Amino acid sequence: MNELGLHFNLLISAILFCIGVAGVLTRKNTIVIFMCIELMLNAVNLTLVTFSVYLNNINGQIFVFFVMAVAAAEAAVGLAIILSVFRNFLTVESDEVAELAG
Amino acid sequence: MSPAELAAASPLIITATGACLVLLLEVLGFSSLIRNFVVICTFVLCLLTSFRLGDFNDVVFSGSLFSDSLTMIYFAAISLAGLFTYLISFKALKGEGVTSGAETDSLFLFSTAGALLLVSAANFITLFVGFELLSLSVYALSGSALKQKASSESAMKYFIMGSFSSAFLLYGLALIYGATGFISYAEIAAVIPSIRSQLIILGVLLIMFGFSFKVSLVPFHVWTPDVYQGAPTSVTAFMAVVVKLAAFGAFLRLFSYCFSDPILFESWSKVGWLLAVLSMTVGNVLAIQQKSIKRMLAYSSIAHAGYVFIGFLALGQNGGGEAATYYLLAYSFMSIASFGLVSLISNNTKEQYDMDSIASYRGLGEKKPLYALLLTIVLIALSGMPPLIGFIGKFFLFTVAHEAGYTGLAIVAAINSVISLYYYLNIIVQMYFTKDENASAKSELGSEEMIKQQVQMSIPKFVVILCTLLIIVFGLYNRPLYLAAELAFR
Amino acid sequence: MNTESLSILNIFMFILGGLSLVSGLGVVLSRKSLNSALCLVATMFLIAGQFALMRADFIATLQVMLYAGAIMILFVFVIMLLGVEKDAEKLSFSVPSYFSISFVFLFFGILFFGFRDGIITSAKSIVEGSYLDQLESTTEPINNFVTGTSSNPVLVPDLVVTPKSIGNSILVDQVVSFQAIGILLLASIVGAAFLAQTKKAPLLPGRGLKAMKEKHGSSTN
Repeated sequence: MNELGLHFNLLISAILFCIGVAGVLTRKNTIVIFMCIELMLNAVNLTLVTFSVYLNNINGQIFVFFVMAVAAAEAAVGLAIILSVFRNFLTVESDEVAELAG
Repeated sequence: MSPAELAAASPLIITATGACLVLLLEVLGFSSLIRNFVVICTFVLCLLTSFRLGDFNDVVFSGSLFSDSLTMIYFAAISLAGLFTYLISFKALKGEGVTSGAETDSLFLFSTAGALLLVSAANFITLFVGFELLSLSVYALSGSALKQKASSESAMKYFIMGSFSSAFLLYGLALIYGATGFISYAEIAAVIPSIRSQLIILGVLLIMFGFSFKVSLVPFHVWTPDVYQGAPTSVTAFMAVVVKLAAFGAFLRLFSYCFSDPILFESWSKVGWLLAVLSMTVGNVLAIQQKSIKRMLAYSSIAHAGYVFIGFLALGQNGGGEAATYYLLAYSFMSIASFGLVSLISNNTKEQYDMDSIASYRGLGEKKPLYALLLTIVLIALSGMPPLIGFIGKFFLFTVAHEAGYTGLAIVAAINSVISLYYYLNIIVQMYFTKDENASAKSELGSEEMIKQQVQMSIPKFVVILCTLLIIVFGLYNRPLYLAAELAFR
Repeated sequence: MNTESLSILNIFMFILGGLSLVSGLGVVLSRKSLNSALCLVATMFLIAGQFALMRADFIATLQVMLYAGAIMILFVFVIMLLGVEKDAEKLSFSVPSYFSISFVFLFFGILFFGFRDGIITSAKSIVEGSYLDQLESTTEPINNFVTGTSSNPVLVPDLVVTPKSIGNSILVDQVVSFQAIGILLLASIVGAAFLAQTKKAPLLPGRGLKAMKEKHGSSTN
C-alpha cells in the first residue's frame, strides 16, 4: 500500500470519526446516538487496519479483532439499557429522559 | 506458570471464577446466604493473592500483564474497596429497588475483574479490554434498579457518555500505534524519545480525554452528578472508588512509563494543568449549591479527581505518582464511608429519593447520633482538615506540586480545599444545629424498632465504622499508607 | 520524498472512501432511525470493502459477519421492537447547537493538524501530475510518520495475514486478552439479560432448579 492510500484512509477515517462525534452531540434519539458511536468505532477500526497494513505489522489487525468483540458486547448491554429506559419512560428521546435535575 | 505469572493472574482468575460460580449457584438453587458468602470469599482470596513477596518487576504473558509493586498495591486496594462496597450493598440494594441478587453480585465481581485487568495491563489491547469489562459491568449495575426511572436514566447517560469517551480513547491508542508501530508499553517507551511526530501528541491528548471521562475531570464531568444520583447508592460507591482507582492506576502507569519523556511532557502538561485547575474549581464551586447529598458528593468527587490529577503533572522524580496513589487510597476510605453512611441513613425510611436531599439531614444529630458522628468525621476528613487522612493526602500533593514547579497549582488547590470546607460544614450544621420541622409529620419509629433496625443492618454499619476508624488511625499514623504509595512507584 | 503515482487500487479506494463518507452523513442526517440503521449497514459494508482492498481479508470478513451481520441486526430489532417511529412527523433531530458544531470543527482541525504534512504532500502530488500505473506497488515503510522504527527494514513483501498468524497472535501473545474477551461477553450477556427482563419474562424462571421442579411437580400431580 503506498503513501497515498495511507493518507487518504486516515483522512477518511478522521472525517468519519468527526461525523460520528457530530451525530452524538446533535441527535436526540438514543438509538441513533448509539449508532453514531458505532460509526466512530468503525472509523477507528479503519485507522488501525490502515496503520497495520502500512507498517507491515499484524498487531493492528489483532487489535481490531478485539475491538469488534468489545463492540458486540457493548451493543448488547447498550441496547438492553435502552430497552430498560423505554420501559420506564416510554420514549427514547434524550431530552424527554430527564427526570434527574440537570 | 512461573511465580510472576501466577501472581499477576491469580487475582483475575479468582475473581472471574467467583463471578461464574455465583451465577452457577443461583441456577442450582442455593440460598442467597451461600452466594453472599462465596462473593465475600472471592474478594478476600483476591486480596490475599494480590500480595507477592520480594523484589520483582515482571512483564508476563508475552507482554500482556505487569506484575510489579504498583500492580500489587492497586490490586490490594481494588479488592479491598470492592469488598467494602459489596458489604455496604447488603440489604441496601433491596431497599433501593434492585430485586435480584445473583446478577448484581456477579456484575460486582466482573467489574472488579475488569478493574484488575485494567490496572495490570501492559499493552493496549489488554488495557482496552479491561477498560471495557469494567465499564460495561458498571453500566449494567447502575441501571439495576429496574423499576426506578432515575436508575434507568443514569444507566443510559453513563452508557452513552462512557462509550463516547472510550471511542476517543481508542482513537488515541490507534494513533500512538500508528506513530510507533508497537502496542506494548515497553516497546513504546523505548521508542518514543526518538520520534518527532504530531501523531503522538495527538494520541496522548485523545487518551487523556478518554480517561478524563472515566474519572470525571472537568470538562468531561457532565455525566457524574446525574449518574451518581440515579444509581443505587452502593453502586455509586463502587463507581466513585473502584473505577477511579483502576482508571487512575492504569493511566498513572501508562503516562509515567510511556509518556513522561520531557519533550512530550511539555506538550501535554499544559492541558493537564488546565484539567486539574478546572476540575478542582468547578467541582467545589458547583457543590456549594446542591440540594441533594448524592449530587454534592458527586461534585466533590470531581474535585477530588482534580486533586489526584495534580500528581500527574509531577510524575517521575518529583514523586507525583506516590502522592496521587496516597491520595487515592485515602479518598477510597473516605468515599466508601461517606456513601455507606448515605446508604444507611436513607435506608431507614421508605421514601428513598426523599431522603436524598440535604434538608432531610436536619436534626440527625438527635435522631441518629452514631451516624451523625460518623458522618461528621468523614466530612471533615474529606475537606482536608488535620489530623485526619485527607489533610495529609492534600499536604503530600501540594508539596509534590510545589517541588515540580507548579506552585500556583498548589495554591489553587489549597484555596479550593477551603471552599470545600463550606459545603461539608453546611451538612454538619444541618445535622446538629438545625431542628427538623417535620419531625411530627414523619412516621416515628418506636425505640425498640430503632434498635432492631440498627442491629439488622449491622454489616454495612460495621464496614462504615471500620472505614471511619481507619480514617482516624491513618490520619494519626500515616506510615503504612505512605509506605504503600511509595512501594507502588519504586 | 517519493513521488506518488495513482494506481487502479487507489481509484477504487477513492470511490469506496467517498461513498462511506456519504453513507456516514446519511447515518447522522436521516430523519427516521431505521434509515440511519440502513445507512450504517451500508457504511460498514463499504468499510469492509476498504479492508479487503488493503488485503486485510480476515478483518473484512469479520466486519461483515459481526458488525453488519450481528450488531446491526440487534439495532434493527430494537428499533422495530420499540416502534418509536409511530409518530414520525416529530423531527428527532435537534437544531445543532453552536457549541457542538464548533467542537466538531475544532476537533477535526486538531486531527488534521496531526495528519497535515502527509495529506498536503499527497494532494500536491496528485494535482501536479500522475499517471495510471500498474496494479502492484511496493510498500516503502520509511516516511515522515515513522522515522525508522517500523519493525521491519525496507525490502519486505506486503503483510500477509494467514489464519496461522492470527491464531498465533491470539492464542499465544494475547491469550490474556482473549480469555478476558470471553469473560467480557459473559458479563455483557448477564448484564443485558438482567436489564431487559420483565415480570412476564423473568431472567430465571422460578429462581433455580428446585423451584422449577416444584412447579412442574405440582402441575403434573
